[in-house]
Amino acid sequence: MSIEGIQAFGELCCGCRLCQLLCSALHKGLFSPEGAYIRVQGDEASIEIRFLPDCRLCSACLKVCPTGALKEGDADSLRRPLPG
Amino acid sequence: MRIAYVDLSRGEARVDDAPHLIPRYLGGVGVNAKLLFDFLPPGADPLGPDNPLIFGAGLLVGTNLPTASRTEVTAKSPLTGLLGTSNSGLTFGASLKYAGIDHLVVLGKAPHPVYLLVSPEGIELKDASWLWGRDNAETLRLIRQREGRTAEVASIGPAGENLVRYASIQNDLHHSWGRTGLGAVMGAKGLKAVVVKGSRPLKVADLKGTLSLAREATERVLRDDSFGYTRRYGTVVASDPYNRMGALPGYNFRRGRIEGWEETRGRRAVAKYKVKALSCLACPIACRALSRLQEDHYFHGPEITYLLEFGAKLAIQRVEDIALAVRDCNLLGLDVISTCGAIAFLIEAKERGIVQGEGIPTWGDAEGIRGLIQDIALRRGWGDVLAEGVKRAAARIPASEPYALHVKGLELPVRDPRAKWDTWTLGYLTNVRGGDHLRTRSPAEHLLGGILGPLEEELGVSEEFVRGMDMPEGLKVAIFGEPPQRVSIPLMAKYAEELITLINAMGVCIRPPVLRTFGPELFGRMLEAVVGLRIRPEEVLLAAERIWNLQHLFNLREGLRIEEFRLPDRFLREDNGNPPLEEGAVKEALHRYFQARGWREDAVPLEEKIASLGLWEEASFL
Repeated sequence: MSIEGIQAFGELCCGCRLCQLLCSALHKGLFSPEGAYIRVQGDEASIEIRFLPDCRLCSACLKVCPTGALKEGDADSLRRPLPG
Repeated sequence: MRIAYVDLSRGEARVDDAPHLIPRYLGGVGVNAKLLFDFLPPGADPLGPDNPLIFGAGLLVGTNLPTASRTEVTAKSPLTGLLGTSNSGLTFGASLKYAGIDHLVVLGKAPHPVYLLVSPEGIELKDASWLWGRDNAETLRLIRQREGRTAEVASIGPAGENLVRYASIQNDLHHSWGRTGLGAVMGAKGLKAVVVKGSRPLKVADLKGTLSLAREATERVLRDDSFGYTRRYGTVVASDPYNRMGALPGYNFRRGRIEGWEETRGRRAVAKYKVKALSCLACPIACRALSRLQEDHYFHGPEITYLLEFGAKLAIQRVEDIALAVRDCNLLGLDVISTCGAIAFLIEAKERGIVQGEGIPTWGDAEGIRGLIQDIALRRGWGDVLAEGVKRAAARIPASEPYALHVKGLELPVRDPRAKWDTWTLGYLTNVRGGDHLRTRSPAEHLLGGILGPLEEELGVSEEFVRGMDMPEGLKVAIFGEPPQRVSIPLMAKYAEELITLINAMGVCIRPPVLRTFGPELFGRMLEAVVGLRIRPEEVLLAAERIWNLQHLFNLREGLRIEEFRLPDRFLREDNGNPPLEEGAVKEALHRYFQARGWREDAVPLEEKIASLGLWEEASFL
């Protein structure tokens, strides 16, 4: 199920990267954090969550996030691609 | 199963495929044990070139199966002369998998300091002379500057370089392969770091099956009663109950309770510093805490071990000081438990007038203790004596032996066994790596439950919980009774060891939400989905039993004697608020455990046991 947008809260992210692992498995058929359309980056104290332009907003990452760092948003919320 | 072999003496590397090892030894700790057994010439010096240092990612690592992040490091221990092995999480193991390697075996000794760079392009030996002498934070920073910020780093600090017998290998900076002195093995090889840059995707045998199992296993984790408190408090959840039951290792295992403990070092006292929950890769539990102790003083932790070791064993009161001492250990590369055991030994020896002189702190003297930590890592003064571990130090200081609290040469950790004799405390004797608490953990662990005698503890979980456990039904009846009414300590110890062995072979975590809910049936299905191995639950358990026995055979081959299955006299003679343990009762529990294992009274496995595990060749030295 596609959604309109995703809100990402790096301050809530625990850095498990389950979102990346699932994203790569669903869309590439392999486990590869670097192959995911979502990226969890930066120091653990200040994590940044970014999306690649190819993200299809399938929302699988939202469902697997264990800390509520990813939430469904409207089209104006944090959209792909993020700067950088 | 791809195994990379690096010979540091010759500067050569090669990679072999060894899929035949999986059905017998699974992965992680199991394959590590097999490689150590085969590659170490019997009796070889742990600090010599013949001791293989083996990194093994768990079999499920790199997938999204919950908590599958762990890597086992194994060698002959320079501290105990027996099995040296330790387990750690984060991302190192997954990166190794993404570099196309499951196990890395480091042999020989480099003529000058090197680090290894492992990537999908191959394995390179790189000069590390410019890193030698630097602490782990500097090493990590400089390596990432050169190799990129996504490089995963296992490194040693000055303690490993100086062959401190309980030096750790640091995983990133704040995590360790801590126990049994693997950092000294690395130091002896002239190996400053193993740097991994994995970027190759990982393919599993059945992707759909793996994803389905990830959902199922995550449900088990999140629905377990232990999930909430593990997320909220992490490991420090046990801090208050330990004090209440008199299980603190206070003042070198002399005070089980400490006044003001809960206000200063209890779970709420430390939880107030927590700013964020952090995870290892693929873990939905997030038990790790990032804490802010002061304006600009962030700290990864505290973990329960830090509080019990620095806070109780050495009686440092302020969490801020405990954090600084832990940071020292991380920077220098020292195992926290053995470091605290060694320092506690010296402080008590001084208190009793056995030793004197400069550089010996007193209980709770954070500054003095931190100074001694530096001395240990740099082998200065008393630090040089303590760097050998308490067993060797006691042999050098007349009349000090009663204050050296160890089993089989490994300094005892965190919990006083007099507070409660149970599966955990029997594990102090039976653990294949010596006096340690992390390889014999019951999935029905109930800290505050009562004991019904030396052989049984109270059932601390509900009948419904037992019925739902992922565990063969016959074993449940033997261990818990029918209907479930108690826990047989010797039988549970055997099962608990096999369960932890599976956990460390698969590469998942031993936190309660996993320990209580995963088992041979689930692991069997995971094996089929991830590596395509069709295996029944009883065969999964048999593999774990084979691994445990192989580790035990390794110890026997390297000289383990039955006399070493012995708790320090302190626990058998002294009252610390709780009465001493009865020696006869401890012996009886051990005797029953040996029976359950199919071992003779002298701990030698019976022929039938060797035959059923297919370990004839390995046992041929007996």
